[in-house]
Amino acid sequence: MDRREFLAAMAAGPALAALQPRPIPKYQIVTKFKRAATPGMPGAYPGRVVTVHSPTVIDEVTEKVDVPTVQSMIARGMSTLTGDKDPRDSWARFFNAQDFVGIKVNASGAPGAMSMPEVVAEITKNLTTVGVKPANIVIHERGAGQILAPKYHEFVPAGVRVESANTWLGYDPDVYVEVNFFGEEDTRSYLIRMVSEQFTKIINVPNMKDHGASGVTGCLKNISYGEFNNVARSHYHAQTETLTFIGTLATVEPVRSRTVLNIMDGLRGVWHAGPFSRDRKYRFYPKQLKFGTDPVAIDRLLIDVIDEKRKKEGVISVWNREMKYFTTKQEEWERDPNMNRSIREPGHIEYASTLGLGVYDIKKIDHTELTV
Amino acid sequence: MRSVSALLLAGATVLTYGGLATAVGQSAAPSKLYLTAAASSLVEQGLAATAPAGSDAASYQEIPSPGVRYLPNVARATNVPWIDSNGWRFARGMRKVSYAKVPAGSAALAAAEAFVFNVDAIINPDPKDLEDLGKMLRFLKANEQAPLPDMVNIGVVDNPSPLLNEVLNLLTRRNLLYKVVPAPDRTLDVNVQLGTPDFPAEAAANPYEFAARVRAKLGDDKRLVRLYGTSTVVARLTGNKSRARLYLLSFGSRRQQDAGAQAIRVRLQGRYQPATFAAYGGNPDAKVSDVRHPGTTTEFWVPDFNTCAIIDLEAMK
Repeated sequence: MDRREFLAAMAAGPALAALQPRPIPKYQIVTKFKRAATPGMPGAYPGRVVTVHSPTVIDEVTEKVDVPTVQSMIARGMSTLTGDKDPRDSWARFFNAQDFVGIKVNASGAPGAMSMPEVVAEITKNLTTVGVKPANIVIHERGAGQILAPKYHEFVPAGVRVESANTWLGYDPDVYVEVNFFGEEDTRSYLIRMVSEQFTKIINVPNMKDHGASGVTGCLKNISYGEFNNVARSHYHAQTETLTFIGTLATVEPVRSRTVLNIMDGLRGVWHAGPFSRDRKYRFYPKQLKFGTDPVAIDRLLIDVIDEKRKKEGVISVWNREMKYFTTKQEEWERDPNMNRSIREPGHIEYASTLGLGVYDIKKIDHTELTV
Repeated sequence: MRSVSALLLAGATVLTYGGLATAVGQSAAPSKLYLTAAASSLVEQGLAATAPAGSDAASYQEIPSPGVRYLPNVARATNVPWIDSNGWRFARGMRKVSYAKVPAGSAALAAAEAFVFNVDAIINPDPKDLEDLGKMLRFLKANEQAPLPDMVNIGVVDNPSPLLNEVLNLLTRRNLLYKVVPAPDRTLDVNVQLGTPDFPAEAAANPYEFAARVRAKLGDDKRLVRLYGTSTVVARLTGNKSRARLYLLSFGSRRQQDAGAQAIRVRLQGRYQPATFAAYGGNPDAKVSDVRHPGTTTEFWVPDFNTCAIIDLEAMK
């Protein structure tokens, strides 16, 4: 057996075993932080989701975003979520002048798929209206390369910072999850330090995307894989460990307690080959924003958005686990939306509900839909 | 904690202390680096000696240049690094080597590898590498000291099987610190002997699986060195009961370890206080940070470095 064969054996072993159930990995959570009395997830409104649609918020040809429409959508979404007449009162329920707020965007698919700068800018403006100082607002991602692509600094009020773990504070040595999935050498995933040492609150702003490993990537995955390092190790093989890793990371304090608001940016979405958006043919335009404190409830609805689009395109569901749709060849899963590089695990959302992160049962989700 | 014996320096004093590792005999002198005529300008600067010729040169065994290759992983869209380190050759006893064919961009790594593993080496650099090699030789000279013994807790019983080479290579890459022994050594935590129930000979046909087997047998808690945040750095730990020196050798494509502000976290068995940090290609004022001592271990972040970092540590009372 030569070296190339070793590598093939490494990958093929788990692939052949993909249909065998895997036990829940043995997670060791290390943190010095205690859970808040009312943790941010599922927060003040468990099971409640507000979806605001707008047919004019983005131009599907130019992808230009209509800023006044975004402003209206966010105002309506927040006031409907909290039941306040004035959206400023809604924001004031979550944030005040003493807060240091981290905005966890998703820029992994930029520029084709990302938390839109216009949406993020409107969020920062609303924070300042309730007294949060621009210098105490940090738009962030784990990686420096990703956070720079959307050019958020060109859209937000002066003083708002754009950072990554590479550019500010690095990782917290005292907050990590230790687990050995596949015999990998590096078994720790550390939390980025600005979360533990600086932020008092976090706003989670994911996108609407298919994900080759986790099925979809929404609130839960953005706040977990986006705030911890060394997470790709969970999905190097056909069968992944995304089912349990995503929710487990989201429970780690202080992430769970400080993530108080989720605003899912569904102006654009990706229905295949996510989380990236290399091929525009897999991009679509849900033209909506979802609001809630419960990441599980929002992500439960996200599954339907992605799967309905896939159904409309005539391709397999994100729930399909047949090995005949698995391929190790990138060109195949990029070309054929029926093929995939992993067995998708949209069940990670239901698993997260078992950890107390929110409401998964669609019958128990209080979903309000509006159009502006 | 049980006591284990430590062998200090080749054939020298044997003493017992409450440590976790066995120290391996090493040459008492620092490695000697020689350069071919291609790098005569560096010899003139006093950074290395002229390569021996004739029968003297014949005693140096030619070895491949160290480096990394990125091979496709069939399960994903990215490539996985395959480190070409000569650490296992040195563990098998090579003390005088020749890097006769060193592709451009690799001379500094070759010099660092020889220095870190304390072997005498002839380096025949590509002319394009002279500036980089000169800087590396200055760095190594500035950090030269009398070698400390290797710290290891795995013994690999020598065996003529060629499979053993790949096994040793994998153990080196995985930072499972070992020495090659003629027979099982009870002072070590694990002895790896091909053909025993724990390590059947056929298992060595897949070195990945075999290295995983050794790792499992030892247990991660007992590993002398763990590196988090990198898969392209090889560690060598040396020391005695009062101090230790950790060498980190980066094989990454640019050999720069700076994936984050604090990309690599080190965990060492034993309680140490880091005393000095020296990094090639790093900030001269940088220090290791966030030192912690969970249980009987020491943990810290390593600042950015390129190719080679050296951390001197003092044992805590």
